[in-house]
Amino acid sequence: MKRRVISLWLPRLATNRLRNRKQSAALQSGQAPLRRGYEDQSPLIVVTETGGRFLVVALNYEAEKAGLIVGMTLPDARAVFPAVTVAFADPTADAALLDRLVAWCGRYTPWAAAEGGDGIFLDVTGCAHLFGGEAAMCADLMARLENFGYVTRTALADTPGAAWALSHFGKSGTVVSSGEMGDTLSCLPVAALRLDPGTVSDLAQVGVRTIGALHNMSRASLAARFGDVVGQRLDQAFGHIREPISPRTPVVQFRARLAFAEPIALITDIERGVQHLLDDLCRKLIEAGQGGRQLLLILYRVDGEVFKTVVGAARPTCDPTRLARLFSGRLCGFEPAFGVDVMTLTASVTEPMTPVTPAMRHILPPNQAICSDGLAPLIDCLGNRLGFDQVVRLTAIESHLPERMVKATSALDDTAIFAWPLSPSRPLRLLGWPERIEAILPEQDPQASPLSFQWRRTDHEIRLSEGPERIAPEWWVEGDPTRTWDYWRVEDTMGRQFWICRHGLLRPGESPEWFMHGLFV
Amino acid sequence: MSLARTFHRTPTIDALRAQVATIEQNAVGGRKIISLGLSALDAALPEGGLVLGGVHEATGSAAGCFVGMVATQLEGPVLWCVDVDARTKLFGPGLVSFGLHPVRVIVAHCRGRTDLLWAMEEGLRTSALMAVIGEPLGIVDLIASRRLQLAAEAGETLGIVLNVEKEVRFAPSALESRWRIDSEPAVDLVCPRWRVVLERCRGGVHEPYWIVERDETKGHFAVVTAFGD
Repeated sequence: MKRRVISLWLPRLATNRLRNRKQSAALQSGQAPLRRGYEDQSPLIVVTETGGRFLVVALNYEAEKAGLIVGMTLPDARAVFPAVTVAFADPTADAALLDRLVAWCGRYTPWAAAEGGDGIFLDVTGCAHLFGGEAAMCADLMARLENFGYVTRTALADTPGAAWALSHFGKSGTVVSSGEMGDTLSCLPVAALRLDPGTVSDLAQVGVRTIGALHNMSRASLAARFGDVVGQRLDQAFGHIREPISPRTPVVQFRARLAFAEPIALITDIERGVQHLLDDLCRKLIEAGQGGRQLLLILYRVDGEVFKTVVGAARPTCDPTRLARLFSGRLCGFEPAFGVDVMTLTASVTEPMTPVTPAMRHILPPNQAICSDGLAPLIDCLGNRLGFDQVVRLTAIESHLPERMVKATSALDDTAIFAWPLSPSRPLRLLGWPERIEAILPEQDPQASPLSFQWRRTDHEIRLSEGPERIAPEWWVEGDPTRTWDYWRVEDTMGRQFWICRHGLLRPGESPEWFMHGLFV
Repeated sequence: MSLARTFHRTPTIDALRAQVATIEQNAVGGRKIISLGLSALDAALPEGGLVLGGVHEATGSAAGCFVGMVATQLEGPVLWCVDVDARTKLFGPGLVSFGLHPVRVIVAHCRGRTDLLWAMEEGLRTSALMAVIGEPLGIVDLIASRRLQLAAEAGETLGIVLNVEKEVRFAPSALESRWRIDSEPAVDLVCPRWRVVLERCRGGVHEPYWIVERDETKGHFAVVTAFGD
C-alpha cells in the first residue's frame, strides 16, 4: 500500500495555548463562557529574552493584522501597537501541549510524531477509510482542533516532505492524490523544502525561487554549491528516498479500534465496547499464535482528553473473558463527561503461546509441584490490584542468616529453585525487625540460656530451651563480623515458643544484646 | 474419646438438622469434606470433617497451628494472604518445618483489610487452589464472613481465617466453624502442645476441647487428652 502522510501545522500554537487557558480559567471560575468566534480578540504577542532584548517569537492573527511581525523587539512592537498584550514564552508548556496533541492524534493513527515545535506528522496509510476518505479525514481533524481553539493547516500527500511543504505553503486541507505530487510541488517556493533561510536566500540570488526550478537543475552543481542537504530534501519531498517518522509510542502489531457515531457516556456501554475490542484483538492474537502480556486501553473523550489504562498478565493470554475481568476494575476511575467517541486497545507486549517449560518441572519436589497453569488467572487478578511484586512464592538463597535466606519470586516462576536446605527447626514467623528484649541470666552460668525475659512489657519465664545455635555473620557483607548471633528456641510457662538470640559474646569489655527474632506458630 | 459427640445427639435433633440442611440446599454428605487427621476432632464436626467449600476461623494465640493440622491433610497450592502492616512475616524454613512446603504457598501481600478480604474471595473462587488462608487485622464482620463463605462454596475451596483479636469470640459470623487454639506447656520442645477448642460450628456440639501435640520429628499431630463440655 502506498504511504500516505498528513502534515498538521499549528502555526499559532503558543498564542492559542494562552488564549485557551484563559478561556478554560473563565469557565472554571463560573464566568459566562465566551462563545466560539467571540473570544478575546485583542492582539497578543509572546516574547522571549535573548541577549538582553525582548524579541517577539509568536503572535496571534490580530497582532499580525495590527502590523506586528515575528522577530521585532518588544519596544518596537509597543511603538506600533501600544495596547498589545504581552506574554512570556514557555517552551516547556508548548512542548507538553504538542505532546498531548500527538497523543490525541492516536484516534486517527497510532503512527503520529511531533515535527519541529509546532507540527505533527501522521502516517495515515490505510486509515482514511475509517473516516470516510482522505479529504473527510483531514476536514475532521481540522474541525476538531479548531473546535478546541487551535488554528490549523493540514495537507495530505505521499511523503512527509511534500505534506509539510503543502501544509506550510499551499492551501490548507489540500489532498494530493497518490503519485501526483510533481505539479503541485513545482510551483511552491524553495523554502517549502525545509531548508534553512541562508540556503533559501542563496538560491534566490542565483534565481532559483520555486521547487520546479530547483528540480530542473543538475544535481552535481547543486551538491557542489549547497552541499547534500538540498538534494536530500528534494528527494525526500518527491519520495525518492524514504523519510521515516518515529512514532511517539512503539507501533504495535496487535491493535483493535472502535469508533462511535455518537459519543457514549455510560460505563456499562464502555465496558461492552471493551469486550468488543477484546474479542477482536484476541482473534488477531490467536491467528498469530501469540498471547498478550500487557494490554493498553485508550479512551478518547470528545473534549480531547485521553484516558489510558494498562493491565498485565503473568502468562501470555488470549482469553477475552479473562482479560475483560482485569479491565473491569480499571474503568471505575474514569469520568466519561461528554462521552467517548473512539477507543483503541493494543497488545503492547506479546509473547508466543507456548506451553510452560515442562523441562523445569522435575526440579520441584514431585508431589509438591503446583499446577501453575490453572492459577495464572488468579495471579493476574491479584497482581493487577496488589502489584505483581506482592504476589510471590518464597525461595531459598544460600545464606545462613535468617533475614537473608528467603527471597520472594514471582508466583508463577516455575524455574525458581525451591530446594530448601534441611535446617533444624525454625520459627514459622519472623518479626519484621528483631526486637530488643531484657534477659535475666542464671548467675552461676551466664553463658546458658536466660531464665526469663521481658518482651513488649510482658515477662516470660522460660521452662524449656534448646540452643545455642551459632550463626556466624557473613564477613563479605557489611557489619561487624566479629559479633556472632547465638539462637535459642525457648518455651515459656504458657507453652508459647519463641526464637530469641544473643548478639555478641559475654566476655570482658563486651555486653551482649538480646533480641526476639521469631515466633513458632 | 468422642464423648463430646454423643452429648446432644438425639434422633429428633438429627431429623431437624437434616431438614434444615435440605432447606439450605446443601444436604449433609453432598459436600466434600476433609479429615483433620485426628478422629476425635473429626467426630465433633457434624459432617465428620472440615467442609471443603467453607471458611473456618481459627483464633487464639496459636491460631496458626490450625493451618499446620490442615496442611498435613491437603495437597496442592495454597494462597496465604497477609497484611503488609503485620508485625511478623512468614519465614520459608519455618514453613518447611511446619509441614507446608513453600513451593505450595503463594503469598499475597495486601495493603489493608479491604484488599485482603478481596484477595481471599478471589482465591476462594479459584478451584485450582486447595486452600486460602487469610490473616486480616481486626474482626471479620458478618457481611465479610458471608461473602467469604459464598465464595468458598462457589469454588469448593477451603478457607481459613486466622485472627488473634480477643473480642472475636463474641462477634457474629457466617463462617462454618470457629476454633480457638492456645499454647499449652509441652513436655518436650520439639513436641509443642496446644489446647484446641471448637468454639462454634454450624450444627455442631457445644465447645468440646482437646490437648493436641505435634511431633516435629515425625511431623504428625496426636490428641493427648480430650474433654467434653
